[in-house]
Amino acid sequence: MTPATSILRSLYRKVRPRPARPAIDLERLFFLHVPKCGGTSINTALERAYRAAGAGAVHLDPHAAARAADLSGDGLRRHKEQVLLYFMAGHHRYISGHFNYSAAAWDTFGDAWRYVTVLREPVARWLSNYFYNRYKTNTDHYRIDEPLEAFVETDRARFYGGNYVTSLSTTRLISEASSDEAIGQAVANLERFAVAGVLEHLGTFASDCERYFGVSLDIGHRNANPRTAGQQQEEISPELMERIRALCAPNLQVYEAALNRIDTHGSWLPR
Amino acid sequence: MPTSLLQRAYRRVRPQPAPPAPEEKIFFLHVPKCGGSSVDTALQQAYRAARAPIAHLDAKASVRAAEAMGDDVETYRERLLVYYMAGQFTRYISGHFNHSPAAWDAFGDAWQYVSILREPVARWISNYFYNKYKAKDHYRIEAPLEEFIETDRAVAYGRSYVMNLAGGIPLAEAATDAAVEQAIANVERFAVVGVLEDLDTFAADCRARFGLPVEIAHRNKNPRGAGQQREELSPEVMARVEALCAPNRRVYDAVRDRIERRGSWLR
Repeated sequence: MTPATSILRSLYRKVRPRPARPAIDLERLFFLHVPKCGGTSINTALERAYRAAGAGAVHLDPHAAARAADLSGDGLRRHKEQVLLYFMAGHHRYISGHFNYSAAAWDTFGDAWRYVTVLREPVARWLSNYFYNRYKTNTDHYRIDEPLEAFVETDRARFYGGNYVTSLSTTRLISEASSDEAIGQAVANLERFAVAGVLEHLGTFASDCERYFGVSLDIGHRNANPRTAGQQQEEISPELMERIRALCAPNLQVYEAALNRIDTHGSWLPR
Repeated sequence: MPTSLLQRAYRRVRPQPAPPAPEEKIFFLHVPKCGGSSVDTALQQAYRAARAPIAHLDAKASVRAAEAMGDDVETYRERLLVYYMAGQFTRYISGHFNHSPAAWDAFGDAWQYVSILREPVARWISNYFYNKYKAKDHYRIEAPLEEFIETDRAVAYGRSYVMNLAGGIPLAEAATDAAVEQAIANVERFAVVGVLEDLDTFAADCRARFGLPVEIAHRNKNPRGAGQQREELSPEVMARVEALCAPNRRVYDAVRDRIERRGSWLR
């Protein structure tokens, strides 16, 4: 083969029409992105797979949602719920973003949409969330100015330890997120998700998605923390770690429920 | 020659640079049955060609979502409008929204408002026949014309410009002087407004104001032709429709007068 033919052949391989999987075959996938659980990389991989099949994908703009919620006076949670239901009622096949569980969305569109999420070991997530917002340079959106010792006493510190409950149940207030009822509802809602994964077993999550949705995922690492894990740990005394673990008690219960299911079956999906 | 083959192949597959995105962010407030679908398509094309993100309201999805949340659909759409206007990347928004004072106050400087109106009686008749004979169930009208003109919906068709442009006022108030004047005052601040009867001026204004090549085709055609429509209208019915359209006519005349006086919407 001459070099020119070989170049032509490789060029052709790049541009030839591929038999794309028809978008209509793809299940409608709602990726409920819980912050700082590796969701940015997962969202990128899922969205790429859907777009490659020509499926319409839509992503919540968190800055726009915050601004619109301020202007309407409705509150951010309600505003995001409005956007979610509108997206679900439309022609999209893929939705992602920092949404919360919505009973209205589940009741109206739960049959049409397959829910997906990823959680992470809660203390690691708490720390990641703190350091990300403390040291990020790209935006002022939700920046933290307090040192860790002061921050652990704030409502936001409690929120970071209970956000799996507020994200996955209809519980709005962080003060109620440690109740058995709220945690129980979050776990029950999560159980109905088509696929849930944990960041610590990303391979299982990817293969579950491949089995359930028939899309192949290439998950890289995005949205990296500006402080590395080593730098993070240096700032933390044993007392502070204890305090953070206590703050994370609600999230731990939800996380362990997910982890137990995955560990028991070797997969989120029933065998 | 292999090189020329390669060059030809490359020319076919090389990435084409997108034309520059229009500088202005446009909100096209689409008043139903005024030729807006064609205008919307023409404006969208200019943004799509530049790969600039656009947001078009899915009217049916907004109705379904508002019902699921137990919200009023007009308020729901206002929330969506504000969300899209607040977006960092969206450059073009269109759809059957109402003018929102909250959106105007927050984003009136950042977004250029565009709309198009139509002679109100022609619009009323078009709206009736479109919804009477269309194949889809969405807002279909079942009543014959003589019955329909007695309904609230017939009244709303004659006040729609006021209701769309005055910003969320109830039907009963839409015929008051205050509401009509508010609608006119709001539309006066739009960057470009046209009338369907003079699309050339509208297209020229869009070119002059935004530098957009707007070529308008006719879409969303009425399932009944104009001739067939007129046959069903007695002089009595026509007089009644004229009366129903009085509020819309005041808004339309204000727009039309400005365009005729200056030969353009632009100052």
